[in-house]
Amino acid sequence: MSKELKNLITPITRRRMFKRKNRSLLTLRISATILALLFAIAIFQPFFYTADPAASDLSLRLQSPSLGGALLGTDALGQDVYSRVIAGFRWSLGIGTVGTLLGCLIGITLGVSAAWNRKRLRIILSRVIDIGISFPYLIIAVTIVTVVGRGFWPLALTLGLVCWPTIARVVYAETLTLREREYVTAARLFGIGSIRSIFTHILPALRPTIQVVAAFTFAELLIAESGLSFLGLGAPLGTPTWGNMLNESRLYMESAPWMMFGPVTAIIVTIFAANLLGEGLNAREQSRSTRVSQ
Amino acid sequence: MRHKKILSATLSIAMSVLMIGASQAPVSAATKTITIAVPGLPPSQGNPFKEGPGTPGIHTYAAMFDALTRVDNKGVVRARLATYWKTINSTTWRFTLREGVKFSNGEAFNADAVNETIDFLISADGRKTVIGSTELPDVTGATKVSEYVVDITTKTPDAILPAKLAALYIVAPKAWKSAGQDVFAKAPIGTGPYKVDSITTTRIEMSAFTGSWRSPKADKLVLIPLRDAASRLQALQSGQVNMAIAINPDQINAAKSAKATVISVPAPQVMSLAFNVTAGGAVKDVRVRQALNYAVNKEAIASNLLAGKGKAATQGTTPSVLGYNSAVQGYPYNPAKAKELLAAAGYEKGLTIAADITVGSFPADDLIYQSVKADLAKVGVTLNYTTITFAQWLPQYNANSWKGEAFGLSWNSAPRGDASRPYAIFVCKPVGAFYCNAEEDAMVKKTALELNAAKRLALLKEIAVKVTASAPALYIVEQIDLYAVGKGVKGFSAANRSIAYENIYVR
Amino acid sequence: MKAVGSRLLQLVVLLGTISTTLFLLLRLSGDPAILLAGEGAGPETIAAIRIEYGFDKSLTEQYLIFIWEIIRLDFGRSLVNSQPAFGFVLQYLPSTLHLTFLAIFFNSVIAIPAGVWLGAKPNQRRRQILSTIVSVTQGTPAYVIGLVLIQIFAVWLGWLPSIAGTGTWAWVLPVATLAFALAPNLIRVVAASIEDTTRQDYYRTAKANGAAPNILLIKHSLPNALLSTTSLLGAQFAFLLSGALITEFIFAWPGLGLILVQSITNLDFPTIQATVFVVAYLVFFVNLIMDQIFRFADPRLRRSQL
Repeated sequence: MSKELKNLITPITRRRMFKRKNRSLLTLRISATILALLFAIAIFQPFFYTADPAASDLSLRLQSPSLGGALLGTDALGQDVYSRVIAGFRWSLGIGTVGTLLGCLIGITLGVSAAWNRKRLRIILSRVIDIGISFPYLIIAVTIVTVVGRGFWPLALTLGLVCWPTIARVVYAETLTLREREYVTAARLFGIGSIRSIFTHILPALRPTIQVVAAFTFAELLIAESGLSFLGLGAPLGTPTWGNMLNESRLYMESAPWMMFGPVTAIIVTIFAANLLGEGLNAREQSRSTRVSQ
Repeated sequence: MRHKKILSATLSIAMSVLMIGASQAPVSAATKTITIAVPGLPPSQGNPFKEGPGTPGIHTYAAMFDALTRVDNKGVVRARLATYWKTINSTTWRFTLREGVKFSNGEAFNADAVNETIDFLISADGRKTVIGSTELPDVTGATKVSEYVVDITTKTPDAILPAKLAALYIVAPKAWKSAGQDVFAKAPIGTGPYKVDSITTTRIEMSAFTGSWRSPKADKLVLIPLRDAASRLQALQSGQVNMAIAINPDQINAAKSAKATVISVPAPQVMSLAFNVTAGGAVKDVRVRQALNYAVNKEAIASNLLAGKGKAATQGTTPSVLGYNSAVQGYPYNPAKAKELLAAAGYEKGLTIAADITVGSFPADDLIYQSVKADLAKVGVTLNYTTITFAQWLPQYNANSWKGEAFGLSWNSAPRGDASRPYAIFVCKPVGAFYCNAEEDAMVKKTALELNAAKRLALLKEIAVKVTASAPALYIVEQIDLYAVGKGVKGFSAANRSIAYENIYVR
Repeated sequence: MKAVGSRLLQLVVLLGTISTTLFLLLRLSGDPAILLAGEGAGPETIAAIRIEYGFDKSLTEQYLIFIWEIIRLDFGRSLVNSQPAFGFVLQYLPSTLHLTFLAIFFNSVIAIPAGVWLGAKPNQRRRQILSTIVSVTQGTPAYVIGLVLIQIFAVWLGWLPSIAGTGTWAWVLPVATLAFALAPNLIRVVAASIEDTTRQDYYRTAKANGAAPNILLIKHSLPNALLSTTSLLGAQFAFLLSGALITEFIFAWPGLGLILVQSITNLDFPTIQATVFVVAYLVFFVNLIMDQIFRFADPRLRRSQL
């Protein structure tokens, strides 16, 4: 490439790079802010209540939203929908977070081990991942509910056990490519142990992928929670999780649509933020790797 | 707004014309089909012995089978396949059968048919079915007296055998014998108004059995299971089904605005939380049990959550049941008294109890349970629910292995419409007793052996007084069954959950 | 030949492990004998039923019998309707497969073009609108989509039936529900991988050399996107085989998901086992096909494959 041409191109590329970087940074900032806000609501929820989310009053049931009364209306028991949506932050975000963490833990462990080992272990673990994928989540949910009962931890456990196979698959595929990278191969040649190599080379390199997958998984688990609730395997009866509320609102789609509005909005906003975070992280990673390759 | 309606109406008409043209279903104008959305089909399909006498079996079997008797909404035993009955001795009842009745495969109904059914019931296989083991465990055999007269014997004297036999559907003897119970389940044959064309998990199709003694007014009957109440109503609103069974009280207005008629029939069933008294703990104290009963505003629950169609429960039975005692007032809402009783029992600072419940079995049961919890919280009682499935409920119930102090249990008098059925649950059972009061137990036993109707009724009413006073359960509401009958559907009626399918037709 | 043998072995191991896990999990879930005997059944009745179904034997013995029967593809008779469980499940397979294929098809028809369009120039304002819509629909559970679709097209407009078995039109809403539920994810993945290729060096080189954008898209971006797209479609397919249960529920669709829910509710062990077995078997084959597509699409993988 002639020097002239290079001079011509570089400023443009630089500007473009800058733009893209800015955009991804902006996405990241927005999504992180939204999520931080949501978690803040979960932590400081009592400050946001306009009514006791558990207090029911049958004479006030199915009231439409009003500025003076219930902001988002009341449900079939006369409970304040707005306050219940707020109360749902702790449950839903908590379950989603714990479930995602658990899924990541299992998924990363199995995925990395399967990809790292070249021999029999890889075959065994790949099949374990296959089993995980083809195993109906309903059976996992039913067994956990039967043995442990219903509640925050059983539900988080169920969701974690449901989501790990996807994570394991992605991690497996990514690790396969990573372990063939020069620096990893070089490290192996220098006699650096597997465990050390995994911790110093593979896991840090996996981080961006995991971040992205985790953000998407989190979003999916929020949906899965409402599905379990639909099947009667979700959070305990009357618990203000968004899934439960959505499930309760089914009968009132026509007569009291506001019952659906609150939890659906909460789920959509959270998922939107989580997805945005995943995308932002993804974009940042892309721009980084492009920069490295230049 | 109106504009849009006209537009959508035109479009929908255009579309439906197109759809009729497109769908190849050979529905001729002459065929009158009744399609009904039910909450579920019997899992054991056309084998009536393997289903309990309640829902979902009864919605299906009422169309294809008949029992010897039926019990009406007032608890009176009526003729069905038997027209007359009397006691011969203390353990034998003689039934005179209806003449000229045919099964849908042409077999004649007679004493032999009854014999065959009862022979199966008392066989080893029959004793493994719900009807043989739980509903009619004391029936020991049947003897043919003449073509249309049969004697049925019981282990111990049984005053209400005719009512109990309402749970026993008579199957076509030859078909049953040659097919065996498994094949019969796919092609059941009875004396009812419809005969089965096909059974799958998602559909039962039947066509009219014109030779039935209850000859139907329509040509076809289709039952579609839609487990979700919202889906059932949507199916009705969109005109895909003619009727929806078991809609929710909060759907009444929506159903009415779709020009459907909503029929509410009081169910002979009281929703309650039974206390695990034998396990000890706070609920062992009768004052605590009474306090919990006083603390719940049952009237508010019935009027708000059951749309005023259900009533607050005063005792374990409902007015339509034989043995209901209208003098028993139960526990009217009185939180002050509840607090007083709790304090007297040593729980002035409050109390925590756990209860295992199943939800989705009755209209609005999830809301009702939550309301009970909220009311109890007002008197300082924390009630923690664990929702379980019926599959989890049953083993704990049979063995009384409950971890908590209470569990969901309904006082069901159906199908015999007699108070003895629920009371027989609250006795000192040898296995799995959760409540045992020697005095009440003796009275229940005495009633079972009493053959004099008047004396028996007096005993049942006395039991109602005693049992209600000792509050072995938190009585909540008298349940209802809601049927949404679509536009143009005529002749619907149901007694004790048994739908008179023969009278239904579409105009 | 060796590859086929190893695959077969893997299949056997996979099915064996799933069956064993299932066997153990189900034994934890409850006692079907009590359920079969019914409310208030005496201990004698329950004992008799246990003997009849072999639940009285030791766990090891039951397990060995169970494995032996599975080898002969005999899952026993359903505990509730007494039909041979395997045959019973197979009856419901075609309708699930149809639904799955149609849902995957329409999902691809909607999502792949949308994803390509979105990914080709992700920064345009009008494409960002689509991106937002995708995010929003991703936040809606399938049953809400299903109920809303029924409310609009069956109840308000009266155009479409919502119950299975009423002709060709009855397919529209369930297929649409599933396609809508699956599409956002696919759009996202397709867009991301298309966008990804635009950053690759060879793409830039080609572009700098003056290749037309459309040809670039077809020659470079699409093949690259094929990999992740098939991978996701495979996963979605596998999921639908048993995971469409809520949709099947709402539309009374006679499929495997519905059978699974029913058999789990009734603790109908043979039917549960047969269903999961069939699903696992199909998923294995979907994975196998996916692997072949990968090998075909990406030569780099050919050597690192098992």
